[in-house]
Amino acid sequence: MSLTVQSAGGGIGGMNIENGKEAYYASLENIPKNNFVAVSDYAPTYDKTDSSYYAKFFTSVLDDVTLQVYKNSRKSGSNYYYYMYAELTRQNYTTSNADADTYALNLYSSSSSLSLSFIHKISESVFVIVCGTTHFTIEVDTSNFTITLLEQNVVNNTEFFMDNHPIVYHQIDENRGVYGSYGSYSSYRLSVGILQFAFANNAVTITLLDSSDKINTGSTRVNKHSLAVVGNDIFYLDGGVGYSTLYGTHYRITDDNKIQKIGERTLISSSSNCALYGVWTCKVRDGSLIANGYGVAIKVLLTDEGFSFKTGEPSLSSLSGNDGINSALHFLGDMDVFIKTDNSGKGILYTGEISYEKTDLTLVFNNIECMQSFCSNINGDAYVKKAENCIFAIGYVTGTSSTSGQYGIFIQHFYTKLMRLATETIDGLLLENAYKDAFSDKKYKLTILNKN
Amino acid sequence: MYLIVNKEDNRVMATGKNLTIGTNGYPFLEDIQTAFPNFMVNTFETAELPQDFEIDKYCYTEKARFYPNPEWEEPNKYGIPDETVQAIKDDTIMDLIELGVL
Repeated sequence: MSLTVQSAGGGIGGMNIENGKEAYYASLENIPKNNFVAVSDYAPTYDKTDSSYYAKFFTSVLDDVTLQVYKNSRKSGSNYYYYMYAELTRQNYTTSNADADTYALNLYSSSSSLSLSFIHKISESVFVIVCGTTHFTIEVDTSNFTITLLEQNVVNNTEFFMDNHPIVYHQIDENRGVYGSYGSYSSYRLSVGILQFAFANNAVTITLLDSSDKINTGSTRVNKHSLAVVGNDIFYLDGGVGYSTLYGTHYRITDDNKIQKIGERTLISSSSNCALYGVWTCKVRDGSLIANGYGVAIKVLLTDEGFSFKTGEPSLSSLSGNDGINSALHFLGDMDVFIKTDNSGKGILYTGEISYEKTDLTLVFNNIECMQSFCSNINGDAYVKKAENCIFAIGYVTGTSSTSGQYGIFIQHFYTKLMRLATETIDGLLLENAYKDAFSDKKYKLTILNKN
Repeated sequence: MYLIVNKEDNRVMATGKNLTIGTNGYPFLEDIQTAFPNFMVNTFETAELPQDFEIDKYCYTEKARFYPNPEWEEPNKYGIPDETVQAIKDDTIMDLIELGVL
């Protein structure tokens, strides 16, 4: 196994990695094409006159070629010009200095802001970039290393997404996807919709096949991890007014592409701050879900009658000593590993295996391991993503004005034990809820390369 | 020097010394590794740039050459966000009020 951690501004080089029995050497030489590239969802592209705007980008891996979409802005006095780019990156693994060829296509430049909502992959080469009220269709030519803008469609898509652009999107197949959005703070409205993407003559027609609204849940506590799709089932987790309630809603996509509400239940009520800072939903190996809130994790089993769960399921504070605000569950080989961050000021990741049986709604956490601090005062979103046997997480750091807005990257490799690979504090990696003071001219990414 | 100029408002969006045309027909500025859809931009070659040239600060047409972008506003003299300048001003006023100066 070969592992490399690098930033786009230049690799930080190889490292020796030991797990107690075996040692792996991380090197940029002889890297196979079978690799995983993970890029933070949100990252800024700093311009010298730009103070507060951020970009977010999406990554798709085509062997050694990565596609990113990101935006930035350039300030002229009190005005801004907004730019959006699609960018190809080809890693040059034959050299030792992490060279990469890049090709960026300027998709958009205007004084009107544009929100990047989600990316839909039509095929290996055609992608649709949906930006709320408009969308771009691009074709990626990896042979000639170019991107061509097939269309810029200004059809108003707000009818699909109502008050806000989608906060979460799951692609079902090449033609369909499910989005989740929420209303403004005063309207308290969740919306789940199924979109159809018809690609013909180098243009895409997006059609809303069906949607379902849910009113009066005060669903401001929704993030990009709040909606899970399991087969034809959709589970949407949201937090209620006052952050004291967790709601779950189970939908099903019918054969004729309608969205049918199967069940709606309150998972936790009157618990202290259980929906604070957002809620996460994670798919578990058997198709059930873990609904995570502030200090709670609840196993949810989707059924034809709705969904079931065990009431009073567990507060995690007894495991950690500090309530975690963000959490994620990932499959790692034969293990399900639970990772949780906290906002106690200690910045700790909690990890552990989860054992369960499909019909058993009780969560059992084993081998809980309190990892080292990787950054102080984690706040807001933490983002966790996995590769084969590898994870990284990003946390927002609050603190003094000189440190506020920094993020730490934490990389965890699981083989026979939990192991920490690297920690890096980075200026300017941005997450959704906390970006104000953070900016950088760097786009950081973590590359984990697995030898077959 | 090559100029990439937005067709809509004639704003100079990018400059570079090395320009090629890609297989998709798009102009590609090698200096910044960036291409631009040819239906979105015009490409010009010029001998020199205005002394105080900045991206977006000037517009360009073949006939008028460089002229100031009417939408452009100079950044404040402190080089910090306008919001921060305003916050400092507000705080200072409050301090002066508390001190009885105002």
